Amino acid sequence: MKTYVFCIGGTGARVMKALAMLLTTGVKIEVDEIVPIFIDPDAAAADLTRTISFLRDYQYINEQLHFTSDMKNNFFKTQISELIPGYRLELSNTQNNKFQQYMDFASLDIANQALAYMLFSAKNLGSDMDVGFKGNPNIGSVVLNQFAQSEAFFDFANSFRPGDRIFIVSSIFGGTGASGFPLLLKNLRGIDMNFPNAGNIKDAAIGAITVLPYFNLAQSTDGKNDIDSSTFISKAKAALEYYDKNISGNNSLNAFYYIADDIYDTYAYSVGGPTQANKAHIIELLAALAIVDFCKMDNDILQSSKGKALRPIYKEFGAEADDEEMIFSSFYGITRKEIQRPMTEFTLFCKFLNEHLSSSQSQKWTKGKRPFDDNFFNGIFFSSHLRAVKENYLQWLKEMASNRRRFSPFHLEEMKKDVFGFVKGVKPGKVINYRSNYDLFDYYLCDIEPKISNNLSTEARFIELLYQTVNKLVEDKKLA
Amino acid sequence: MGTFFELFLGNWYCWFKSFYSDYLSQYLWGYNPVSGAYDLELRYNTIGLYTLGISLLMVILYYYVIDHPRFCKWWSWLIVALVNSAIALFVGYYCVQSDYDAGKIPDELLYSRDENGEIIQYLISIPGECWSFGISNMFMAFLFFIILSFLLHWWSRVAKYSPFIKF
Repeated sequence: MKTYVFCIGGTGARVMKALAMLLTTGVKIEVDEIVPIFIDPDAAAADLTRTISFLRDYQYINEQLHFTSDMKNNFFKTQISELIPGYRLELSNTQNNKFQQYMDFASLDIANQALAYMLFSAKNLGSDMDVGFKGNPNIGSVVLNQFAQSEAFFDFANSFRPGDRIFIVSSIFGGTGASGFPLLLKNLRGIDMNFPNAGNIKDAAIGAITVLPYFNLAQSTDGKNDIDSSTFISKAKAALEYYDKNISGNNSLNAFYYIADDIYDTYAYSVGGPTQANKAHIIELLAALAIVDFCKMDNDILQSSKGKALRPIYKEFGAEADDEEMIFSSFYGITRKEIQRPMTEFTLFCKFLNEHLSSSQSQKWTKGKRPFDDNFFNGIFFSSHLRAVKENYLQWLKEMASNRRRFSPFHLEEMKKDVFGFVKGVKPGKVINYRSNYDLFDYYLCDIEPKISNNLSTEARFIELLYQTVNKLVEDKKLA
Repeated sequence: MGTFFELFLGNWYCWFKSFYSDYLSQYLWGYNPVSGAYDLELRYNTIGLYTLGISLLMVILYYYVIDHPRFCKWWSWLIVALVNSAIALFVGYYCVQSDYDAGKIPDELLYSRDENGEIIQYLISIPGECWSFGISNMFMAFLFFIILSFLLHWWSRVAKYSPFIKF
């Protein structure tokens, strides 16, 4: 079973990145395959390119691991597929075009030009399409209406199978997400029956999360803001009113998630493109958990008929503590259970690679029947893809820890004398073993290595060994 | 003299016999000057078994008790081997010295006397030869440690390849 995740705009890309991070850590998701599809006219947006780059590393590692019954490993377990080359649904005629050229304004008759002037300001009409809709959903609603005609949409329809699900991620306070979400939903529920699998798509289980404002934008250096964050709330209200009638009101979604926060950080102003690299935020992580939650739901709950959800569900997220700095204990048990253990395991894995691997490479665990030698450590799997994933993951954690509200569950700095004290709010348990810190880690590695199947590839053996080791350490030290 | 197995350790000790006199060696073989036969306790075996036992304990200590990631290099193995040898030095010394103190070494092997019973020559120099035997016991202990390491390293979790694969 697959879940297609349509990620609209910058928020969509960041939520997908958070989901990929969670899948990297082994958060359990009741689906065999995730198929991300990005909808963003701003192909150069750093949020999008960073996410795509991470997905490619993830995909490479996932393919190398060839998950078999011999493996207990949960890292990188869920398959992420690239249905559309580059994961991105191309929007035609948006490159090097102004909005008025896109809508062929010059060829409109006087009456229609007058109508266009009522709907779009002169600034709107002169907007460059390369960098998205700059917080203008009225532009987005025109441009994004084309994706049902694209070849990529046809490919999506063609690959869709009964039982597959669809999830849409968007923000409500910008341009691309706010306009793209209802349009996409309309195109899915009212799909042209000439498309392959149209019936299955029309009555598919469709979920969505709409992210309400969770950050502000600073003034641009020239003082001319195309995107004004003071309008985020009013735009969100207007969009919610629209959703109330046209999405919730007509039961278009089987599950609709809302997420919001009242503590904001102010990001540096960026109109889009390579400078749009917002710091990761806990809201994006929690939005990604909505996808995990949606995938867990029973098919019985997500029934649709004639393009309408029979039992629509609406959900919000709540936390146990309203702390400015969130740690695992700030969440309710269900959320903690979902993420604490996998994130703790993978963070320990990353810290080991960063802080101790070079010292540990002379240990017995590298010299078994299938050794981990220099060829492995200098190979593309380890030195390129795994290293990139590790760096991105740690960077993602650092960004969340420096944002507002902060999510800072780990001490990421090196603590060689208290290696297992890295989970904030958790006192490591005692184990009956006189070795401690990374010596204990090495001891577990040496102990577990001979039990790892030699039938696995070297890459799979390495990840399996490290997974089983951190899994046992987290269990024995009661870190989650 | 006894069977092959009874003489096994004594024969090994004889590889390092040049450190001490034939008289001490005779005593350690269990030679009785009165009967002219080897009917006294075969001390080579007793001391050899002590040394073997201590070496076994040290090997177990290194491979299964210490078994520490930071103590599994060739030089850590060598440190334990040297400690084992040092213990053997003192064991060797102590065994001969205590036998001497207890009067277990036959007089005929200790001294050469004239007709009046006066000592004209010390055949075994005490405590010099106690230390000399200690040194040969030290070599034996090192040998035991190597052999036992070969036999027992396989099941160690961390130090399995110490010192047999160069790190």
